[in-house]
Amino acid sequence: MPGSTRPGVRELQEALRSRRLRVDELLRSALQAIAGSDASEPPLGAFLSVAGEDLLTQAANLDRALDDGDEVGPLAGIPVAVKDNICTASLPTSCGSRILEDYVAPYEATVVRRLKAAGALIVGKTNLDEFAMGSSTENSGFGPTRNPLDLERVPGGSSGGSAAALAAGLVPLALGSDTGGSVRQPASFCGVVGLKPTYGRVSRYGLVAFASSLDQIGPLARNVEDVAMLLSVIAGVDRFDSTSADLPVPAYHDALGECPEGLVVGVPREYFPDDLDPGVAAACRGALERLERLGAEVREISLPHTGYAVPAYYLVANAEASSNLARYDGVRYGMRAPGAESTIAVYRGTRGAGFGREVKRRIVLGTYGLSAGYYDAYYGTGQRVRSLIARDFERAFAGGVDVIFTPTAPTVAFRLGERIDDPVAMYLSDVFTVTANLARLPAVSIPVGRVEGLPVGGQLLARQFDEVTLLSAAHALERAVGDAAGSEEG
Amino acid sequence: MAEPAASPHETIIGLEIHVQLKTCSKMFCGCRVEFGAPPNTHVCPVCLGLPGALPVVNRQAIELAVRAALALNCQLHRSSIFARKNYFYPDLPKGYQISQYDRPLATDGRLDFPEAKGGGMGRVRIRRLHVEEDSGKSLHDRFAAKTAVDLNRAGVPLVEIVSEPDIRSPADARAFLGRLKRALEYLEVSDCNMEEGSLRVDANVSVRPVGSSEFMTKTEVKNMNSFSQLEKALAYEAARHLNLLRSGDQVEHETMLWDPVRGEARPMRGKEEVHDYRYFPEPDLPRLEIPDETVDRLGGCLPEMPWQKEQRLVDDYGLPRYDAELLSSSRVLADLFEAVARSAPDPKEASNWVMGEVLAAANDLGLPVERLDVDPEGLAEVIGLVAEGRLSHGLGRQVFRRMIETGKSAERVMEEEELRLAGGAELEAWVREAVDGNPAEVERYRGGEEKLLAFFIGQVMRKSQGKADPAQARQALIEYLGRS
Amino acid sequence: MTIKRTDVEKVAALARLELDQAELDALTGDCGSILEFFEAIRDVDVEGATPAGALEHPAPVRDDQAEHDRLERPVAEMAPDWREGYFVLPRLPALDAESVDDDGEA
Ligand SMILES: [Mg+2]
Ligand SMILES: [Zn+2]
Repeated sequence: MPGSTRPGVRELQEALRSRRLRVDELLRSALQAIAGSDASEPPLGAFLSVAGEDLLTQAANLDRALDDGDEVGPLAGIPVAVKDNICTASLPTSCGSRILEDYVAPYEATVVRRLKAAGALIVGKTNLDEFAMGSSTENSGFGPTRNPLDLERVPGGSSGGSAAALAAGLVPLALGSDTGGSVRQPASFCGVVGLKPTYGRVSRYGLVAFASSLDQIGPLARNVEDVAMLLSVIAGVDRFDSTSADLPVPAYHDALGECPEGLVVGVPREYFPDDLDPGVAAACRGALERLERLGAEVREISLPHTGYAVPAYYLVANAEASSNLARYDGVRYGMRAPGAESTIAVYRGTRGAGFGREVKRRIVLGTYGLSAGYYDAYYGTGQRVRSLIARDFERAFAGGVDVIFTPTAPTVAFRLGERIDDPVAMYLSDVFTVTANLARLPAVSIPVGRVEGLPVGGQLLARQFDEVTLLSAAHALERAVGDAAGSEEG
Repeated sequence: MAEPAASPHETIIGLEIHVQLKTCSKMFCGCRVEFGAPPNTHVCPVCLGLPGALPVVNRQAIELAVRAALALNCQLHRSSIFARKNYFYPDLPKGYQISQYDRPLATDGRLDFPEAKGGGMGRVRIRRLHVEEDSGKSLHDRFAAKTAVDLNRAGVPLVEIVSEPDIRSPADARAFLGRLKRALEYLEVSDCNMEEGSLRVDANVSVRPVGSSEFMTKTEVKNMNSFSQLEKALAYEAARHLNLLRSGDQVEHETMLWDPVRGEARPMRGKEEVHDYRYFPEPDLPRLEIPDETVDRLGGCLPEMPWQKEQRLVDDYGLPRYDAELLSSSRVLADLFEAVARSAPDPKEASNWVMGEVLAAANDLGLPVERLDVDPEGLAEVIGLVAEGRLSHGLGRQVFRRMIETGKSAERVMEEEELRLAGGAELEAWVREAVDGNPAEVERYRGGEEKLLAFFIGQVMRKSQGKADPAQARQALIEYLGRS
Repeated sequence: MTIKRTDVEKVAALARLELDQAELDALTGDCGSILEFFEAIRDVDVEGATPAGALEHPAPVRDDQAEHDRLERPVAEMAPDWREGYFVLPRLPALDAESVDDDGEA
């Protein structure tokens, strides 16, 4: 696996602390690699903006502190890429949309403040589907991101830029956002690890809202330990986000050990349909065997409402999106349609020209679903089915299951353009991931094998706020799969 | 809809009232609330509606809303839900207003008010009371062919109070609103200043034949910015409805804009669509819960309404209606009166002193009454000393003023500043000076102009700088003038 | 339930989206097939199911203090049109709704 030979965060930290590696060197090589990734033809397109001089000053300060043996933050000197829908005060935040082209937020997201306080270096902002609406990063207003493992294929989405940057070895850590699978599905397509924390685990303050009741910022990295480390830094209650949970934050990376004793893994039959890609199915069955060999009990379960998850998800998400995106009106910030002579023309022109096709679809569907006479049939029904889906999971966990294992996506990375004109086919890329958002559960995707050289992701889900069990199980599975891959190759 | 041409009709009025809550900071962010600040100076990511910003509820705004709900005898819902009301307007930064919809903070209240005619009491039922955020301000005349937007007001906390259509005349609408305003001011929920927009009223109006229980088509009237304009606008609109009905025409369901300058209401134009606010629960805010502690604290200390207090001051203290009304116009004044009356010899004297000397001192020093730090027992002591004749009224006033200024007791002020009634030799000396220094007046007095006695008393008071007791001075003057 | 071209037009007006004829056609088609796909949800028996949404914890409240999140750049810098301290935008009384100083609703 291309990722696994590259140094993890712990090795980088050791090298920096022992001064075998300087922050300045690490940063310059990251910036160089990013520049290189877009200089080739076709460009990777993972980044929308990249940090400049002031970051080199930060690096120099960190080097001085490390030279002096001063106390530094847990991510001191580690380059981190941030998805471009998370607000940064020194880099633009475009959300991949023309309507926010050149918009630089005058404040910073809580996660960005926490990263900076931990000493991390924000090297750039990564590409995404416009306002995180998509599953391939082709919906970006500034050109697509490509999958570094096969440049003719998509990296998944919407956090495709972050996943691609990791897979291409440009950065060791990245942040994405996950509303219906936008961290996990690109992690799966790019062969990296991506976590969607429990809703409320990580502050959303400064995450540009797509669907507020589903959105959650999540860490991506090349291994579970790094994901855990990044989660430890960004998690925790925030007085600026009323939906963040006031619960203690464990040191997740310290909690990773052996496979949790007596682990019961539920395997929902609805996630292994007959038409599942056989390569994906085989890789997932292989992973389950390894879990069994580690002493876990694998138990088939049923989550009966799974088949309705995608419609329920879109009914809820589109409605919230239509309201969240009303603020882009050309009055206070962002783009304004030139030549408008009336207020109504400013609104209509700006929004008509500024939003891309997928965003318009969702605004239309969401507005329709909330409008008089349709609310109950659409948004209301979506929320009701959502609660049934959540209840399915509650029953499974109450029945003694500790984690649930599924494929992350029904296929490996598809080709650019393959689904762009078929929105329903695109939506079905998220069939296995939307449920965690609907039920507010933590879920992680880790590489479990390959099909014709392309990575397959396996997804683990756990109880709300039980990221410790989730990451411990993922860590054990990761090592088992890695050992197997090693012995097969060797 | 054939109406008998001149059958008696009645006017049906319901009010929708927006009241700005008296908080330091906005409803969902920490921006300062200040009327008249330079435009767009009290703004932040939240109230600018910047991408990614999120609302956080202001505790004080909720407590003020709870207080208002309890005062209006509402059923308070311990768990309520914020909702988004979606519409586009330049001064609505997020494209939605955070409000409440199907689960508001309070419902089913009532407020009684003195009817404009006949001296009876009317009752208006309150349908609902909910919390929401204000919009900013759009100025259409600041620049030619432009709208200028100021977001200082965006996010200021409001309660919206919706009445049932229980009001039957424009004058009653005014009377009801007056009572509501008095209650909310008294509870310190709001400044209720219509000119500054901290109290805003829209009205629904219809007319129907007396005796009918059917509701006719109503219109909504907006843009009344004073009590008298409210009354005029409602009278205008009711008359318009009646004319339409009498001439066999239909009232159209529409929104009317009151023009105070022309004294007429015009239908609002430029509405390209019917409103569809697409309410749904605000996903950025969990449910609003009012803890027991809050209800106990606010419900327990909910003061009596000003009109209740007014009546009690009349009944318990025997005060004239005028005194009772003035004292009960503010909690501070009424509380001070009651504290003074507790130890003063006579409630009416206490009332005179609070309405007279206390307000005069506040006015002279340019301070609100609560910041004067009046010691009620000290003031009662001064009143007692005056009543006993140990201080003149003027001297009492001086002592009280010095007490406020120095924070010292009446005793110490009198001691240190020698503010005591003088008698004996001192008084005799002032009397002698007053008489001997004015031979012409002495002549006239002795010639029968006895009213000149007041002149001599005045002279003595001036020479004594208030330390002489006017009654004693009078006695001494009569004696002295009669002597030679 | 399917969506007609006039529905899309109406909704686009409500959402302040300017669409040309080709876009309107395309969106009508897209939205129609998406809604058709959503129709599967009608098979679910939602009788008795409460809408999801409530979080475990109630809304936290903050003290009424005038201290806000600092703006790192002046508001004027991000405004498309800014004059004398105001956000400014064009207005055509014939097209733009008459305003009332109430809730801001016109
Ligand atoms: Mg309102
Ligand atoms: Zn603010």
